[in-house]
Amino acid sequence: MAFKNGRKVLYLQVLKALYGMLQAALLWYKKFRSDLESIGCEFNPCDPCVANKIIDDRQHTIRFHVDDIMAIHVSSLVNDKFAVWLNSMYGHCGEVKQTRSNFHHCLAMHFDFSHTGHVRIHMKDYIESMLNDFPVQFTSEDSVPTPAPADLHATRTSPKLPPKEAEIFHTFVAKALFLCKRARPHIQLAVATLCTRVKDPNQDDWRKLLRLMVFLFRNQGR
Amino acid sequence: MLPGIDCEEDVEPVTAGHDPAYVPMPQRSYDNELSNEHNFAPVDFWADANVFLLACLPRRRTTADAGDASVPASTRRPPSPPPIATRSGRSVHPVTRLAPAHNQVLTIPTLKQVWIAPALADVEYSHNMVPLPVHHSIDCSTELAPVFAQLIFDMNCGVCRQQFIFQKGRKKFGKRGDQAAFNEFDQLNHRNCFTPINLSKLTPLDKKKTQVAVMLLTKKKDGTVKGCCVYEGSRTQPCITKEETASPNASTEGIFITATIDAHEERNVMTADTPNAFIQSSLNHLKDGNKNAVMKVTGMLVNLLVKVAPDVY
Repeated sequence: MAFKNGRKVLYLQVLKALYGMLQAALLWYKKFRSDLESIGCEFNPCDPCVANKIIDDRQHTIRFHVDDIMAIHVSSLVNDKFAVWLNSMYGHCGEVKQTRSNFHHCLAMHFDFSHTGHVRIHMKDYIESMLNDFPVQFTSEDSVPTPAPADLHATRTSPKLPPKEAEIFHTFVAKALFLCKRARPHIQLAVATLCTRVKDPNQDDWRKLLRLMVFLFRNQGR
Repeated sequence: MLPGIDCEEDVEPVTAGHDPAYVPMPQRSYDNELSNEHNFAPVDFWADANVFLLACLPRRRTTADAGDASVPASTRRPPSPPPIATRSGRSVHPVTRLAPAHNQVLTIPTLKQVWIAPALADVEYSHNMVPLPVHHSIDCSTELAPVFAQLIFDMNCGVCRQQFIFQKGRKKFGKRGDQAAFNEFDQLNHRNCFTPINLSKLTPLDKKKTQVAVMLLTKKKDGTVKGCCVYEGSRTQPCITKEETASPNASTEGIFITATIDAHEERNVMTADTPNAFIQSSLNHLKDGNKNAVMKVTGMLVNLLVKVAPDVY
């Protein structure tokens, strides 16, 4: 222990990756990958987060995103054994929580396997919270007219948004960007346009965002 | 036009530079925002049997004061709710109460239970809310009611969680903050995440690379305070290349495709979440230059750490 400017200072050598370390995510990936390879998994050369292993002549696929893991096999027994292995390897800091039903939550998306032969991927709760957080609340009869002018290439001028409102605009465009990269790729065009306006948004851009939000509101159940 | 929206076409497409008659929409004036006038309009409020909150919001400005074209009254407004029927029989000018009174049993409402009537037509903005530009087709008075409801719900249910650094958190949480930080250090010590190092063994370069340990305190939904010790890695960015930090992630498209195959082949799906994943990986895999990550703990945190393991520290 040392004293610096009258304050106690204790220097510690870090032995394990702590939250906040830039290398922490890569270290975890390397560790998890080497552990999976040690049990015979082969990694997909095109996707470094997908590992495969042939068990009982059927493929066991393991996909992971940092610490979220999704494992698939025809037989549930294989997944049971894999869950036991996960707990034995990483369960000493707390139990590895596993979900074994037709409904899964992974990467902020919901996977619904309840209908045989079909999977339904949605982000209803994310959209709902996004709509709830939005300062304007919509009703089913609301509509926002198209902000597109008659000439699409015309330059429109409109008063700028005040700084705080511009911040709200930026926040919700970022949320929409996350959404469009996940379960709602069909809003990518609108989001791509809005993303170019986050630095200096005006009232026209706000209308565009409103139109997008109304669209999400009307289709939030899908 | 976005798919799925059957809205009216823009009646007057505005094209600056093409239409000489174009006049941009005037900016709302917020000059009257600081007026001291508070008109406490009678507020209708309805909730179910567990009425917990009655609101009476100060009126900051009216549509007429705002200097903008008045917003037409909404024709889509839902029908008026039934009048207030509290247990005590009071119906007007209720008292705003966000915290339970002494020995009062407070039922935390769900969102469905909190409902502020659209009769709040003349209440536009609360004192804490940023006025929003009104250049859309939605009546701002009706849109605010659910905002208040959500805000009140968040305040009561602890959705608005905030992290505090240790000094501020201690002031806020008192001894619970100390205990949370102690527990966090205890866990990290138990998992051998760090070991004390003699200052004389550090080179000047190592000293420069030393980063401060930040203890963050958060109040969880159940009321408990949680501590989280974080290494301030942002300042090490100049020392570390991106190749050493970037880690691969699963591609969204890959997940969609494989999930579709899983559904088609009716496979068994399991998802799992690894707790404290990062702490389980050792720094030994790093290059030599980065192996010696040194962290310094200062102030009150030193006392807590010494208290955790007096023989070690």
